[in-house]
Amino acid sequence: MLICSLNVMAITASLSQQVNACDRLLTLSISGGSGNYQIAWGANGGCGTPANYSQSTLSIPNCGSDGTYYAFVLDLNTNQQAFASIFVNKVLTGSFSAYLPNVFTPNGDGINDTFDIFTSSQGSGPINAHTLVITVSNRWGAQIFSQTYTNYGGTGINARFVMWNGSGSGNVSGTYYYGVTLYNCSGNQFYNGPVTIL
Amino acid sequence: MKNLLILLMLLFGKGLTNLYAQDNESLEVNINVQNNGKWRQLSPLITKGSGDYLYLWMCSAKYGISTDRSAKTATVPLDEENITYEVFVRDQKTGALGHKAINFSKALKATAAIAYPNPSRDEVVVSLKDHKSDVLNEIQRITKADLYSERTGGVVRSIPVTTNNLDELKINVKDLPAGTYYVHLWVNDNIHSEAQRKEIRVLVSGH
Repeated sequence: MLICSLNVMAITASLSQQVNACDRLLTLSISGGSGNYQIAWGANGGCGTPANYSQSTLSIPNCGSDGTYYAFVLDLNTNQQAFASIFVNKVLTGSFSAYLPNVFTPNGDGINDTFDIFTSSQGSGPINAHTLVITVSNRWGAQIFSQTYTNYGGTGINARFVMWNGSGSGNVSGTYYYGVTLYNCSGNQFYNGPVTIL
Repeated sequence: MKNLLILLMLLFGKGLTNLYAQDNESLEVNINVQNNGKWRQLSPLITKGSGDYLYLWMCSAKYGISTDRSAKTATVPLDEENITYEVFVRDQKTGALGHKAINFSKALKATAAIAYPNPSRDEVVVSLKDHKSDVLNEIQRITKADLYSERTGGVVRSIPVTTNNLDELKINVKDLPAGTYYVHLWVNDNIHSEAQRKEIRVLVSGH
């Protein structure tokens, strides 16, 4: 009898998240126990969880607040319980905060060596974008550089993010033309203008 | 020798049981129910824990809990039928977990009180408990009880009830002559603004 009770594995639960641009997908993994579980989701902050929801995955679409999500597991056969929680970053919504300089000097002196993005106040902090797409053309209109950057978690792409290190230009001084598109979960914005390599 | 074996088995068994209990530390949770107008307020009662708890209320109906499901107290409609509420609790200091469910099979309406045993010899118990489901009909509270004699028509016992949480009371009938009596019971509920009188016929068999 006692041996039998020892054979009942303690159940454990863990939460993982898939971080997409504008939604998070949480997956609850349960090990041990009978397999006959009841699951209950809750959230501290974030966007709450649906009432009367007991699936093992939880989608959190377009939530603009950070939160800690948690799940209780009750083994309906053994009455054992498990608990897991996970911090989930908000998705980025609202207006962008961006300033694009018009000059940089890729000479390796550590000062303005790359074409970086700043906040609108030219400071540090989030620019509130999860995706940044940049294309650079030379003065004859030929595209010499193109790149897509993403950061879906945390505060997304932050100020002083390096958009272009001059590659494709051969470090030839002169005027180039950039097109930068910022994306977040409220929409996108296009910035363009000249940038000079000194 | 046989006794020694039994002793060893007991000790060994106790050791295993303790080990098992430690691996599955759990909180003992009960649910306190309080009625407030058209609402039930459900609160977990936790006997042993740190006091720092995370709560999560669940309900078998989609919109059953209108308040924050992670608040300590869940406020739910009084007139919901066939509904189960449950609370998950985590002790945030120790990580111990607890769970308790409570089912309300029917809306709380004024239901009959019962008296037993009937006939009685020494003591008659008057109860608002629904013995069919064995669930305390917690909406109702006895506020006053009188025992009338059929023969004289007068009150032979008057039981003042001081707490409004009473769902059951006992009336001593040991010294009463055999005969038919009536318990007049005043019951408060959440449906009527004034206490409702209920009458139960009781037979006293005498000594």
